[in-house]
Amino acid sequence: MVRARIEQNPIVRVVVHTSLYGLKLVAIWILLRGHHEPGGGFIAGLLIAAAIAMQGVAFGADAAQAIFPIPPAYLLGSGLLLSFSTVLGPALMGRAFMEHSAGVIGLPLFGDVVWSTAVLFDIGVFLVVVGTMKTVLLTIASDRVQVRPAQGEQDTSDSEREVS
Amino acid sequence: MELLAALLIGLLLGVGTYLLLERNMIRIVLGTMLITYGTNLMLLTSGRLKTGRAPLLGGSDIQTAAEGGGGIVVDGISYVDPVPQALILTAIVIGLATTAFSFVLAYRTVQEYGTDDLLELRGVEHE
Amino acid sequence: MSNLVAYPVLLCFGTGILQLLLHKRVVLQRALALLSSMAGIVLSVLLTYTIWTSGIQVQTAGGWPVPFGITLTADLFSGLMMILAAVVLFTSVLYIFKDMDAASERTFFYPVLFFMMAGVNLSFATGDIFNLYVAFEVMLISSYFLMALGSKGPQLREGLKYLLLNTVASSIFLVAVALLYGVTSSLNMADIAAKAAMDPGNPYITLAGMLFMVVFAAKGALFPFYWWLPRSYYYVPNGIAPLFASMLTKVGVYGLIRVFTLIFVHDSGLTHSLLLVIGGLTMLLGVIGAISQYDFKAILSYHIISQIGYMIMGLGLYTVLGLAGAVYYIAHHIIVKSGLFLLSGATSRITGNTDFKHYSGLLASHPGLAFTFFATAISLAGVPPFSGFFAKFALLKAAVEKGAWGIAAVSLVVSFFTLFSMIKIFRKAYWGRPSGQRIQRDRKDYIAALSPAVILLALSVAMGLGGGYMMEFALATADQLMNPAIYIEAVMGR
Repeated sequence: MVRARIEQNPIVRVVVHTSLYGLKLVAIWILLRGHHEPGGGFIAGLLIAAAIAMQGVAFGADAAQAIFPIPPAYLLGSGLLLSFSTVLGPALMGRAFMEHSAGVIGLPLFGDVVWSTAVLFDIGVFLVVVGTMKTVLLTIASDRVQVRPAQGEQDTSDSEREVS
Repeated sequence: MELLAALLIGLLLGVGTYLLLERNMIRIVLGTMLITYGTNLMLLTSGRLKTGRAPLLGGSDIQTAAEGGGGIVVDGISYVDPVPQALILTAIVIGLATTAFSFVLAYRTVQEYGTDDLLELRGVEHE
Repeated sequence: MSNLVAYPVLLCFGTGILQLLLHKRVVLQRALALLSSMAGIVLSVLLTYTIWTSGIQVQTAGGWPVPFGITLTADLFSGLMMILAAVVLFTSVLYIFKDMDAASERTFFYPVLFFMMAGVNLSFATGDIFNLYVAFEVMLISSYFLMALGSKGPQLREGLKYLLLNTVASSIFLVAVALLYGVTSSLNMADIAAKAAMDPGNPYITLAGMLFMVVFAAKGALFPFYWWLPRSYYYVPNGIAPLFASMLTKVGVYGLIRVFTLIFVHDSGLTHSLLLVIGGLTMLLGVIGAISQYDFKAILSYHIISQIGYMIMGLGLYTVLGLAGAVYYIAHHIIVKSGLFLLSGATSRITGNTDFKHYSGLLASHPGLAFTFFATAISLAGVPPFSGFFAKFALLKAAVEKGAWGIAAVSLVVSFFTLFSMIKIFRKAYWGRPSGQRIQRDRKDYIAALSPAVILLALSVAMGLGGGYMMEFALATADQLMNPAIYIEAVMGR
């Protein structure tokens, strides 16, 4: 019941709607500055998770699903694959595994930009955190609590479980 | 400062242990959470609590501080010890995953048995 | 300085990731699982051969200088454990193809299985005490998932208890790590060992050692903390029960042997005598539990406990021969125990049950199964020419040499009871008049379910017939374990 009231509250909806953009921008900023200053993929992923939770509270689980609308398994898998490739890559090139390299590259508009393979690792972590948190939040949020009275274990038919 | 941290750790672990001894499933899970927080704080304290700059260096010559660990000194400026923070971050992530999993497992168990009282969940031999 | 030590971990991890991305394609996941588990055997044998010929292998993540980066270190013991893990994984995968139900196979079973094996391999490979914690957690979180897979009532209930116990144990692990870091300001096990050797009487280090004993006792199912094992392993699905039974508790034993031969060796009058007592109590209570049971899987689960006692006995004796016996015993146990669990699975595929009250007399209809079981069972009890005999003989000889008559007597009594309860399974399940229901399956299915256990039995026989070579290897391993200076120099002295 509380849920329904929050979902209809215009103030919550407006605040969430406007602050989501800022939250996403901050997340990207924190993700990219991570390898030289405090921040990184994990924190950025948690920010996006906060955005998903807020969206879920204000507009319901379906709207929350729309942020990063990729199935969580693929989100997790691709993030892991990205991070893993920066771990395995150096090993295949004859360096120590997990060895990262960095350098400076001159770009037309931005001037000198520092690049680092650690960013790729961080983006992988970011995707994994978003995937994990999304799964956790949406799995718990979308489940309707239905406590059955204690009975024998035999009569809990599978069809009933699909519904709950 | 260390004494204060020690008292807080003791409080967290004590409350956590008390909750672990409850019969209610959710309280037990909450108890393990509190114990995890207490140990995280203990990890932080193991690096000695003192002020210093964020341990992000541009230079290359790093020398560890004297015996007993904690803190890095470069060119006379002291930095805080980064290792406990890295450890805590890892421990928090693991704690998060475990807690999420245990809540879901507890929830499914309640669904299956219709009770959250662990005394009723002792089970019989090999049903 | 070669990445070889990291490859078994990376292989499992990479396989898991690919399977996660292919989670809709069960056939591709199976192919990946088979290929990867075979490649795992090749890699771990290659790693162990390299350690045998050119010493302990060390590599740090990211190429950082040694005390700072996360170190991966593999000595002969780690190499042996990785080989065993790979072999058990391979045979389990063969069995899983036959036995796992289709719904479970589609629910991220293979990715989580390989993530668990990545955690297991990482625990064997790591040279960093905090990384050991992380490896444990990777393994444990995956094992919670696998234990609850299928979501039957008892599975959830026992899985929750297993999870809560391990969460608390992990917290104690972290407290011990924090203590060690506070005292030595290092996480590298070799570095900690070197610093502990400089300050042998430090009470905080002994305290940390005691905490580690509690942690690994809880994870390895030792005397005061063994109660969770029989109940939770009983409900693990048949396909992965061999992996759980033979690998997961042994990771705890590995951790115990690692820290109590490397770091906490300066107060051995206290710590190792305590381990000896714990080992004796563990094997005695485990076997008493086993003889009181009337269920195939439950008896085997209790036997895991009693056999962990033998391994800890070798560590508690703390002589080269004792540790060699422990190493030999671990190798023997992992092979034979997973074989027995595979056989219990194959039996329950025929009868639909593991409780003897519901069936008997399988010998007449399935002689191959019955005789494979008989051979594996007497190998477990320690009858020559199987591997169990030589492992127990080495342990007993070490105990007698040290004058530890009490533990020698206990281990003999326990061996006798082990034989007794194995014969009980054989008599109740296979001997006697055929009774109980039989699920009709074709001949090919039966052979496919039986063959992984036959592979493991062949390995046990090979380890027994080639006992001399195996003992030589175990002695070399124990030699490395008894001289922490070798380990420390391999890691630090570069």
